[in-house]
Amino acid sequence: MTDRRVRIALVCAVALVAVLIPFLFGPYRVGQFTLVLIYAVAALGLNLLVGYNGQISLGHGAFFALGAYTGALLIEKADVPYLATLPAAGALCFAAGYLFGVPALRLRGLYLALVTLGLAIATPQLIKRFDDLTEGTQGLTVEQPTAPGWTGLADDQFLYLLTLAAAAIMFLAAWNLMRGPIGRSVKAVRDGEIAASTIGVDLAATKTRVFALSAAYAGVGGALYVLALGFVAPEAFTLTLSFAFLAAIVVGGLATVSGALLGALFIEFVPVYASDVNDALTGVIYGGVLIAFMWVLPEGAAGLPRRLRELVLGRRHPEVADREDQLKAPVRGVPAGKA
Amino acid sequence: MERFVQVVVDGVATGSIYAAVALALVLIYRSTTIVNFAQGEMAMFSTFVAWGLYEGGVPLGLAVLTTLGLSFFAGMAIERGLIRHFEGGETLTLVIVTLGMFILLNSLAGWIWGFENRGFPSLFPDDSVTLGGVRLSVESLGIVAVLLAVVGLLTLLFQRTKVGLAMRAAALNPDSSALVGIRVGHMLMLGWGLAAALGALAGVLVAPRLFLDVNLMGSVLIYAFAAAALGGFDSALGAVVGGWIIGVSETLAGTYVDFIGSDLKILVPLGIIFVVLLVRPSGLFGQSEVARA
Amino acid sequence: MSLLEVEGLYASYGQVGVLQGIDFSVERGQKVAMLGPNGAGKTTVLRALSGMVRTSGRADFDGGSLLRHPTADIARRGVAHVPEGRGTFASLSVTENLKLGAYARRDAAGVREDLERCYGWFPRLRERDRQPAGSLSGGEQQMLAVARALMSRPRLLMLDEPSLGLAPIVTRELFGVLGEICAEHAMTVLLVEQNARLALDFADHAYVLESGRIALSGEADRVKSDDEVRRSYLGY
Repeated sequence: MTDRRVRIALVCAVALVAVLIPFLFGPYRVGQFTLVLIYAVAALGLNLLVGYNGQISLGHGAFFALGAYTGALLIEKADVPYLATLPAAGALCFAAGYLFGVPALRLRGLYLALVTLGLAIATPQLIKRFDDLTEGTQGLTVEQPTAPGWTGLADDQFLYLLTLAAAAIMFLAAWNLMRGPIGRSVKAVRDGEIAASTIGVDLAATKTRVFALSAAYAGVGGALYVLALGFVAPEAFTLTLSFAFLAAIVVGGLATVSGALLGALFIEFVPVYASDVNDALTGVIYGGVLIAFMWVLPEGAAGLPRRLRELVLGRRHPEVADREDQLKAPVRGVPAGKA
Repeated sequence: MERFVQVVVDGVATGSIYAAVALALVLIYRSTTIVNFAQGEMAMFSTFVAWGLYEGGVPLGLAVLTTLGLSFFAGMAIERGLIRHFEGGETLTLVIVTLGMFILLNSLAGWIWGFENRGFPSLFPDDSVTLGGVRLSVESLGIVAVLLAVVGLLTLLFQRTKVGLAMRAAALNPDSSALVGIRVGHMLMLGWGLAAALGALAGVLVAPRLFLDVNLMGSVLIYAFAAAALGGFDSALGAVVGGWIIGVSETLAGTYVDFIGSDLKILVPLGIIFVVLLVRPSGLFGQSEVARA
Repeated sequence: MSLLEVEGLYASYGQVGVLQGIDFSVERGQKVAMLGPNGAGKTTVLRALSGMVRTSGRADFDGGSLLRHPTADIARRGVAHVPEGRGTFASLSVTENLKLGAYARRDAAGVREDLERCYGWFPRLRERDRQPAGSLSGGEQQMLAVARALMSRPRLLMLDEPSLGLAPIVTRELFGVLGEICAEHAMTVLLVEQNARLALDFADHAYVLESGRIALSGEADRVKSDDEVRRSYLGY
């Protein structure tokens, strides 16, 4: 079985399972899976920026929050039909991401990380500050979509399938984009800006657009979040959320589309079980996982099949080998071959 | 007028704490070009250890000194055991790893000592002296004095000792350093050890002023970053001056400007970082283009 | 037993093999030149001996293997490597650079003595002793690099293309001083050089490296006087 056919078969299998979920589980579980899809969309956005383009953002929770509140306010205060809130939130976040991306061009990796970290920390405060709009700590309750009669579905099932459809579209779009010439430019920027510019990639345009796009994805995720939960409050958008997105793409796999889904599964289910044991355990797991994955599996879970195949067959695919060598390089002043 | 001087001195004291953490950040950055996002949480963890020792009956001064020593060794161990594996690699990898440490240490501290806040005793008497007609708190003056002493010791170390020279060399040119017999790995460990001890010192100095809980150093870290960015990430002098500027601005703004409530105070250093990086990325004293993309 | 004995040495950068199994040796007090065209692997030889590249084979210094040891340890055993491009600490002062050369030594008095001696050999360095090394001219930096290596009282001095980028006058001066020092102290030298003529005047024995293999080995005088060899291997 060729690689390609295995992949197609896998995608079909996953898609099939995904569609069947609302009919296999009860409302609580279905709700969880809905959240998984939502986180996957946001994580995918972050992955476009971090994994594919190499820009570091620790503040995607902010764009997620922006999308969520946009959606909430449009529904509650402007009576906008819920489906329309998705593109609206996406567009607004695209613009916001673009605005942020322009000055971000001037910030090297760690400074960008720093500023976005600050953004993530500031988000709940900012939400509370503008409380005439956002209702501050009280939060906003939002009318949720109900299943139209002719579908014969329960509300939670309808919500899930709606989210699934939206997520599928976003995933396909991202996958398609990254596969083509735009994707190559994006990745070229990550792998070496000087080299990229010599082959004609417009660095500034690429980077700001990717930032904008990744923010848009987070925004759509946020808008879906509002629909799924029917409620938004500042506490949902703390630093932990931004860290969770980062953990999702590290665990799932940087620069992979499927990785976002795997990572989202991780961040939805692990903390639930972890917090049963101990309040602090979630954090310990997140932190430990981030470190462990960068050490052992920098390509994330999506890289696991490849890694297993290497172990069995004993060779490395050149593209992966290069990327892995980039991520972990030997220590200076120490002889080559000793890490 | 008296009030103004008091606020400024207070600001310099607070700024000294930011400066201490900023120095730690700069120390690690200069030797390894890594920004240690976990610097604050390491300091918080150390502060808890000091608290634990004190609660266990150890006199405060001894508890603090012991903690400084333990932190030094812990810093060395972290460099050797964890960071070494990733050195020389991509920025992104190291950001994620140090963030992972941030999250891990934060939760680990909560696991061990709980998430409630508690008090931490001050190293200085709760007193005030009158200088030039102005009443100033001993604690504020003490903090500034400690920082100046630390800066003095570090300067001695780096400018006048063999080890200090070797550390500078290792940071400047690891290959050439190896060729003269300097074990670069050891120098890196020393750098992380010193940084950890500096952080711990900052922690025990700031804890009496805030409450000791797992989020003690969260905002301090951001302020320290702002100080380091302002001063220039590769300049120790910059870290100190930057720290003071930020400390004084913070207290002045907090006292005299009403618009900035305590919620949004954190935006001040963030704003400063942003502006500095846009206008003058190398900071006030920095030399290299560390920030420019 | 030779001070340095190399047999079947292979060296590679990542997947790219550079040295394809070379044999050579350096006796105590001998000055050996390693010559050859660009890309032959001359620099790699020194880097291999200093533990900076992946190697296999045998390379023994005073009976002990050099391979698979960290660079700093090799330096501490008395192998002083003056790298290509000089490797000075540009923002540190001349004195600090020299002191770093003596880093592994424990005899402070001896270090002070040697510092004076270095300034004696290279008076221009004394004139600039407080200046940052990066502000020195190319020739002065090369002298600094050599002086730094000498500060460690090495048993083997390895020089990588010292004439690179220097004006002929400066190069002659440098080699003149080097010759004096070697005569005075019976220094053992392994010299990698592009400038074959200069190297052959200086050295006792020469090897010619081509595409990672030793193509020729012989007494420096003989190599110098063999016209055919000079033309085909050394380009003059």
